[in-house]
Amino acid sequence: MPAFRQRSLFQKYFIALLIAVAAPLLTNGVVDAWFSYRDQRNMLNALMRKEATAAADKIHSFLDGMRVQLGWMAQQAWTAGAEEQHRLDALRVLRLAPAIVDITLVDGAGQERVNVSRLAINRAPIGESRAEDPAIVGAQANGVWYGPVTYNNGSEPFMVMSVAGNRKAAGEVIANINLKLIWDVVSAIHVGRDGQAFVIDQPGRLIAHPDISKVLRGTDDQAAQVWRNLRDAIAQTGGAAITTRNPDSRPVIATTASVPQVGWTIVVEQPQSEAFAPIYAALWRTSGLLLAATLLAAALAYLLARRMSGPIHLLEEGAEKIGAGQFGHRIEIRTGDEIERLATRFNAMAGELTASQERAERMARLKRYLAPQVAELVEMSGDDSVLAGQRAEVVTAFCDLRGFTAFSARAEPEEIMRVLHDYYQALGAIVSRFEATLTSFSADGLMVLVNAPVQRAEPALRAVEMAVAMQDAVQRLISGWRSQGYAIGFGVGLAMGWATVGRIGYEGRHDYTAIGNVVNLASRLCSSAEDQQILIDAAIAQAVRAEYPLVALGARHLKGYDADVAVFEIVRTTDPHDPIALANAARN
Amino acid sequence: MANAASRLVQRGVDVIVTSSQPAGRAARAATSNIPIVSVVSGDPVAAGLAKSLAHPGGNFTGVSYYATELTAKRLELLKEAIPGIVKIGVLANPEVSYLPFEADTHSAAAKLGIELSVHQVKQPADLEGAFSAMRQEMVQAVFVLPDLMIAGEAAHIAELAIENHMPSMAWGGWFTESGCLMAYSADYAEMNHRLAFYVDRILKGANPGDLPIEQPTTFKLSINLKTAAKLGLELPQAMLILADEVIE
Repeated sequence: MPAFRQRSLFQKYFIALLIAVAAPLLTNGVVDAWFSYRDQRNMLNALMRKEATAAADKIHSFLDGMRVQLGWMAQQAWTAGAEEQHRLDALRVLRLAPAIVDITLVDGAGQERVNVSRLAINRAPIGESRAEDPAIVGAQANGVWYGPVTYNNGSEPFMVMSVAGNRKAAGEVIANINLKLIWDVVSAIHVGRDGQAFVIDQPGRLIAHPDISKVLRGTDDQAAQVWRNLRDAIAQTGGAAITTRNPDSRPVIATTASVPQVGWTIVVEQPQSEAFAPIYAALWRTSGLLLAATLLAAALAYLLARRMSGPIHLLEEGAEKIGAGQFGHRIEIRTGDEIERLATRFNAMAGELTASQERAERMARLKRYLAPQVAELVEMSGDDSVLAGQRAEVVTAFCDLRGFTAFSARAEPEEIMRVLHDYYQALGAIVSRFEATLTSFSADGLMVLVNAPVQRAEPALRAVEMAVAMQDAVQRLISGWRSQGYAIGFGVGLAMGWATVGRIGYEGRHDYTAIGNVVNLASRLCSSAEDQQILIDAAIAQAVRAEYPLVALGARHLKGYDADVAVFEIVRTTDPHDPIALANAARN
Repeated sequence: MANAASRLVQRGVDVIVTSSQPAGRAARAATSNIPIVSVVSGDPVAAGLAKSLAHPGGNFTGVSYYATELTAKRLELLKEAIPGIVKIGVLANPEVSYLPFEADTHSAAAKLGIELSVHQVKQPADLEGAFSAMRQEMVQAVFVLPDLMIAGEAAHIAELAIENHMPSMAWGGWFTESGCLMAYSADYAEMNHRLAFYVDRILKGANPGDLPIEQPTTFKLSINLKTAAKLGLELPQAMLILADEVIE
């Protein structure tokens, strides 16, 4: 599952890095957007409040202007003959203030004295009492009085306004005012591109609107309800701009300002689409930037994660190859960090493994013909030169089974292999124990060298001890075999002398061997030895005479030798616990 | 006028615009589908052109001229300009007799205590006869009623009025400019300008029946002091105070 692990590591790095970069960015962006939204919203609120207040001021000025114009007419006392002067004053006001449609002057006693109109025939001064007129009562109480808005012919908004003179004798002025002229005031107010301002009266009816048609359509109860609700809602927020739907069902942001003396309300509205356009634009911008930043972060995270997981992947691959035995593989990582150090350690390990494997192979080779201890020794020296060809005085030992050929002709292969197995098992242990060098074996025959390639003290004695041990061990086996009816015996021949020793063979298949007369002699001695016999030549006999009882068998003719050769037999001491040995000793 | 209106209807125009009541009336007679934007004289509701000023309801809308409504005011102003006047000659075109100009003039005259002598002029050629008749009747001033033909004869009327030593009261600033003594009316130019607003709204998809008929807000009194001098007339101060335009 290396691919899975690689991906998962990459994923972990990628996600961690992405979060590390993108999370602060996103947080910053969102917080920024929120504050920007709040600021924009506050700015919009302030702007609309300002427009509404400015509009209210203008309406206020309009009404104030009317009050001043009218008040100007109520300054002269109604003395006899003052009527004409008052009439001319009224005409002057009519001329100056186009919004005033008619003017009625009332004297201090509440009698109507002058009436001038822009449209109708002036009423003759019939002395009608207006004392009970709410306009007169209101003006007398408060100095100025504003009547309710009425719609002329159900269309044009009008309002009666009355102003009291500065003293009782000056009487009062009542004027009918065409409110359509406020249109000039409100149509001049623009909030943004599509924002507008308009005026509603106390019941919510439109008095002035940039679209004059809306006003001239007269009372619209449904719209009035909407405006009243809006006015109340804004009043509740303390004058903040709120989002709502106007009577045309358009989503707008609106705020109000009031003209308290007449109970009118200025509504300033702007389509939400326009009002929030900068906010939306800012949000879009922020989103775009965040997206770009996130993509950049992702790319960065991808690259970094790959830089981190890539070398780890290489390490893993390398470890896998080395594990599979490709010790020559080297991990190439140049990151200059811990991972490179780790790769270097891996490579060093691979080198050590190579060395170790080579050593193991050499050991295996050495152990083929050297006893393990000797092989270890040679290996430790780290030098193969001991195996090089040289002349050395060696003891050559040959041994083989008697009657094996006849046995192998009769016996089953399993049986033959079992016998050979036990045989070599026994001999191998002894060869190793005596640190002799096994040069070759074939079927039941075995050749062993002592004193080469490693020199030993008293090689002849050691070789004889080994031969005795061999004979003892194999004889124990033979007694078992005989009980099974196999007529098998075992003989050993030893000879000592100079021989050429060294490694022979070819690449990958080497043997250590000895060449010389001593080899032939030992082989011949073995051949002439009977069961239980250990035959030695004169050189060995000379060397072990003091240690072992010998029987001189005289000179024998050996095949390949012109002269007869002196042959001796080792007399084996009898193991008192070995019945076979005792029997043999008795027979001898 | 009716032919012209039906030709426009046949051409399938998007909107018909007229600046006079008779033309608007002719268009309304020719179609009840194509939006008509017109100047209205008199009460459009009474004339059957609209259901109400606030909601005309049909294909007709526009600006009211107050032409008939101001008749009484004009007569009053004429009386104020020439104190003690008792007999006034009236020029009227019977072609527009469907509008209540004459009736309004009669009722106003009754209120003001003035005797009227109405003279029908169907064509410019009738003016000379009308004036000589009025002189014989010893009228003290001439009162011009609204009509397109009469509007076109403003200079002729002014000339004849001065010739016959009669102060004249008409219904548009151009009469005063042409030599009539005085005129009182809504601001005609402003109203024509206002028609454009209706056309704009209708072309943008508004239903003419939903566009309220507007009434004029500003009125102008114009006085020609040169004519007054020619007539040897001293205008009272009230007139001079009220006058928006004075030609000296």
